[in-house]
Amino acid sequence: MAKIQRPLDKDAVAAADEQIYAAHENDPRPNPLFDAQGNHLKLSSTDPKQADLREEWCDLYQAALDEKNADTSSDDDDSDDDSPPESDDDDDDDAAQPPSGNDPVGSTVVPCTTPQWIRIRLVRLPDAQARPKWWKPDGKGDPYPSEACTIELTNGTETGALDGDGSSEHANIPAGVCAIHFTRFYKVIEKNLGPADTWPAVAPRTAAAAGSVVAPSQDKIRLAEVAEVVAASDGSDNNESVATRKQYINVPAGKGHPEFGRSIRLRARVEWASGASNSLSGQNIYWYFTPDAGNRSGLPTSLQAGFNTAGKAQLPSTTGADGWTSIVQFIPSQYGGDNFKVFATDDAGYKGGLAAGEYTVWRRVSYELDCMKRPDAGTYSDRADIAGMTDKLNAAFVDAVATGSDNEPGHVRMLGENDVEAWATKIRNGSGAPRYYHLVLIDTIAWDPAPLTQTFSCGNGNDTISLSAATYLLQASAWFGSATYQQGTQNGSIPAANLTLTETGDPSSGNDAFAIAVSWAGLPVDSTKAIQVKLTFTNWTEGSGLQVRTGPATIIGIRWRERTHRASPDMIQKSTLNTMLHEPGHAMGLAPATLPDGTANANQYNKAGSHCSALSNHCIMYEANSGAVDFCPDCADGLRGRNLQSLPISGNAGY
Amino acid sequence: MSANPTPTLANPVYGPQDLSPALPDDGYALILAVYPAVNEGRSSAAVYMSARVAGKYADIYGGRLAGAIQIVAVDVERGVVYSRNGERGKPVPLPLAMNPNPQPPPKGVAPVESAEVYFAVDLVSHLGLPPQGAAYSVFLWLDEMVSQPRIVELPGERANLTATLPWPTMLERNVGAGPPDGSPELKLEGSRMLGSTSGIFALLGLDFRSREVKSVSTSSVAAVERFSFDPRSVFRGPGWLDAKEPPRRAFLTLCAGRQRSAVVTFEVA
Repeated sequence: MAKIQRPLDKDAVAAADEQIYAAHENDPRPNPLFDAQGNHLKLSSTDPKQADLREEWCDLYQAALDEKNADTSSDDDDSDDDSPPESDDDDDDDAAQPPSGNDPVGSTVVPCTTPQWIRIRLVRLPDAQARPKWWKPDGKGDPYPSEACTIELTNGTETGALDGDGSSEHANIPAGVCAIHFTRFYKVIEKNLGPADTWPAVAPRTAAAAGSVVAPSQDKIRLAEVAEVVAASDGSDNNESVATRKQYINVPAGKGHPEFGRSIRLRARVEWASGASNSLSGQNIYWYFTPDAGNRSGLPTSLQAGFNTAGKAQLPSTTGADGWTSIVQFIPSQYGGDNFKVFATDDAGYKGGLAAGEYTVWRRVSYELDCMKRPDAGTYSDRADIAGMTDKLNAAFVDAVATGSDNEPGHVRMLGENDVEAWATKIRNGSGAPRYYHLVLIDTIAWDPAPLTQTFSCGNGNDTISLSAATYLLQASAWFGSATYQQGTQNGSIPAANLTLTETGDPSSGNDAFAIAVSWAGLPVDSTKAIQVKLTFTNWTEGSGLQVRTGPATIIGIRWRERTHRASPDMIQKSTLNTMLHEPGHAMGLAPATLPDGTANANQYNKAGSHCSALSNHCIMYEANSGAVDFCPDCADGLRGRNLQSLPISGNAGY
Repeated sequence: MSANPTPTLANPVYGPQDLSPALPDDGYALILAVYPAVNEGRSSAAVYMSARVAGKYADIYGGRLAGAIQIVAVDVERGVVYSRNGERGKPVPLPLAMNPNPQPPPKGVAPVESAEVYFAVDLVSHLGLPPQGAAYSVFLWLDEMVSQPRIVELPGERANLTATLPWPTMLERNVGAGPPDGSPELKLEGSRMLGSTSGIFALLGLDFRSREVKSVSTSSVAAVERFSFDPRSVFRGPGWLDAKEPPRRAFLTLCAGRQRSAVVTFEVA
């Protein structure tokens, strides 16, 4: 090849270009001088494959220059930087200088800057499939140090080995395509598999396939699933799908019953986005929940929802090597009806992610119903509005579940306060304590038997003392105290045998009464004239209902309701329902002295227990029975805030 | 308050007791006796009540006389009123059980001439009095009948007196006339009730049908305050002259310090 001198002669360059393009105009295209469409290409200054062309061009240039010089004595002062490419073995330092930016159009070659670099690192990836026996297991993801290789760079070929980190880096090379050949590596494979053309076809790996060829440093973590951890009957933990459900926070957690307890155990799993199976240890997953807009505000911390502890609204967790986080406990609030949507996310900003269930706070209690036989036929069960009771409790997110059987105890006209607790215990066969209450519908509940003295004007045909059952209550077996008579100057005692007690009338007619017939037999009086009789008898106070601690049981008298409300049977039901809610309401901590947010309940007062004057004395928890069958907003608020883990709860108790 | 005895009444007791005040041989009476007492470690007072009432009360209230009689305690320094009837627990509501329109008994049935009733209660626990020390004017009230008031001093630190009580808008001031000494007096003139008193006072009303005791407390502005009001609307809320059917009757009295006016009966159609 001719050694050309700089600066190049423009005319000689143009002549050389014209001749070389013309000489190769019919060569198959594309080629180094023509693209497929026939456009001229510049010769590469470095491509070894174009060395012959560069040599040809140089000869043409020198010939053109010689010819010019022969024809003229022109000088070289108009030469410029439009130099042809120079081979790598050219000693001219100008080749490393950047181009001026004023390249003339049409030049076939220009000097190329070398700002490019390339770095190769060889690492192990997870196996796509089981290895042959000869392929020994090795590390995961670690590099191949000192691996022999040959690297074809854009400016030459280098043979050597990777460094201790399995890397090889090359800077200041021209842009272009490089190739690397791990010669020893290929030889090992060929030695075991035979020549490459005999290898079985291997499907290319995809990013989603296990053992992705994507390097971990380029891979990403994604949140794969969230599970609820449920204790099985054998005590082991199982992952189950997260749920949307009622969470009965007052019932102790039980195996196989994730819906019980104020704790929901959750965990999440991450995986490599590529599907790789490398260790997933140390990945962060963030837990949060979104409360419904209607949730109770202002709850103290201990009643709030949280993760692992009440009040902690967000919680980060970390994955183990298998990608699962440790178990996170979501603690719902202690407020019936509160609703929470729980999420796990890989966003440190606690946004998005996967749903981890939706939970509504409920409490569950058990009730048993026993209805006494009526004196004639049937039982008092027709007065028990169970649906009404459960509806009202449901409204406060208390689930009342029936337990036991109605033993239909035999009729007893009146049960005294001191006897009824033991009596009720004998007929009880339900379960669910201490979240249990016993409803017992009976004829009459009474207390405070006390002597009552009244003076009557008898004689003259008025020999019956009639005591309305609406306000008097006498026990047939033990009612008589004493009796005296006075007629003029005659006076004395009347023997008990002269007084006969019978119960007359019918509550459904409102005329039932205790009738005491007075016999004057054996007494020195003129019964046709007025006789003053002073009678002392034991009178009981009839109760509307009574809550006894054992059970706890609510004893509900029905006779007085059927008498009082005989004109409006609907009121019998409502009056009974009032007590069916009022007395268990006491056991559930009503009327509350304070509300769940800690503020004082302005409507609560202590009078014969904790009662409520709201709704103009028409809250269920007002002190006196009525047809009211609604809890006032404050009592409903209090009931929703009670944990109901163990009955009874005092109305003055905190939450 | 009587001295010496210190009975403990964990719960009310019914029937004559050793400490029950004796009734006169004849006639009607509503009498209370008060004894210092201790209840659950706290100073209290045991109130013993004895009553002999006319047959009409037995016709109305039957065996529930203890439930008809109100025990009233008025804080003489604040005018705050506490009351509760003599029964305990949750008896059948008396308004639902009583016979507000008693009729003469049918032939063959003996009419009631009178009835006697006794009970005793612990004042503090039964009425739910506040824990602070205070002086109370305590009396019994059965419709038209009312006992003599007894002053009950409960020891203990006195609560700070609040600001001057506002004058109730339903009481129209500077009308009518009354005793020059300012002792409480109440009388009915036409459809309006006239009151006269001094100092801190409480106007109390007992509704015959609902059996509720209503009250309004305030303090006189003038040395002797004279005022009038419409008894139909002097108390707000349910249970005041609002029975669905007649009789709609109420009883009113005025308490000031250790004094109490006579009871005035008011009835609307």
